[in-house]
Amino acid sequence: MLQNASIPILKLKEFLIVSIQTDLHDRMAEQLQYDILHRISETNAKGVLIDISALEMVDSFIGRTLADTAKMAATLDADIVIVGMQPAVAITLVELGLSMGEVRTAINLDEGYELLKEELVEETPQTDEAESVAAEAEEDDNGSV
Amino acid sequence: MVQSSAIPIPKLKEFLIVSIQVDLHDKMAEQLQHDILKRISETNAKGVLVDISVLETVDSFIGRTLAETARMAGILDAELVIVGMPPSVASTFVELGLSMGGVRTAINLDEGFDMLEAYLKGEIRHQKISATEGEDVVGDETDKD
Repeated sequence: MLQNASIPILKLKEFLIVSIQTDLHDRMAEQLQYDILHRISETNAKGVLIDISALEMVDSFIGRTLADTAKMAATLDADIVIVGMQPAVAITLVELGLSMGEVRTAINLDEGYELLKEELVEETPQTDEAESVAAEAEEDDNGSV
Repeated sequence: MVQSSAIPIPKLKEFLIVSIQVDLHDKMAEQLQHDILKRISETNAKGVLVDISVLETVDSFIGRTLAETARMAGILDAELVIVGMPPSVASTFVELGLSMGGVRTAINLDEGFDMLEAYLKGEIRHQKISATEGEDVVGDETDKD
């Protein structure tokens, strides 16, 4: 039963993709949180994209669970980005004064993926790049002389 | 409540990702086929990844619909790959003598994505999907142990 209701967590390169397509009840949200954290530690994923484009409503519990999951994931060194939020959901969240904490959002999966990739580039030390730039500059100097 | 094919089809880079999480009834499978083709033409997607990792059964109709969708997508110049097929589904398919017409498959989303990227780079040829059930497949180079 629970097996049947579980949401698949797909790995793509360094990231995980979670597509939520059913209205989550509280139990399911907790299960999903658990599953996501486990998959992060199993796969060493650097980021998680949660697609909620099929959700027509997000209640306070789900919102909080997602925000908590993001914080937990951050302690495992993975960034969570919520993607594809419907306008109606955004309106409801703000009108009800609910907060998703500081979870990052992106308009769609593609943008979310770019966001995570940029983060990954920023995090990795750029000494190599700096060196290669310096080397190139040197070459240029030699060339002009 | 069942929505009419509420399966979201997000785009990631040049590809579409379809994660099927509910047992498809026939009407829904047709709707999904329609939605996938529409999204391909809207987004100029070059490939489609259909994840069926949480499906416990795939009947002959769904199998045929997926194979048809792959052929239709091929006409729109998009390559369709089925990813994450559970072992039980694969064995049922063969035992019942069903055929997916040689649709390209990959073990998981990650591999499927690599396969599509290789296809885009021209490292893999366009797949040929046989029109009739049970026919041998020509041009399927994916090696399986």
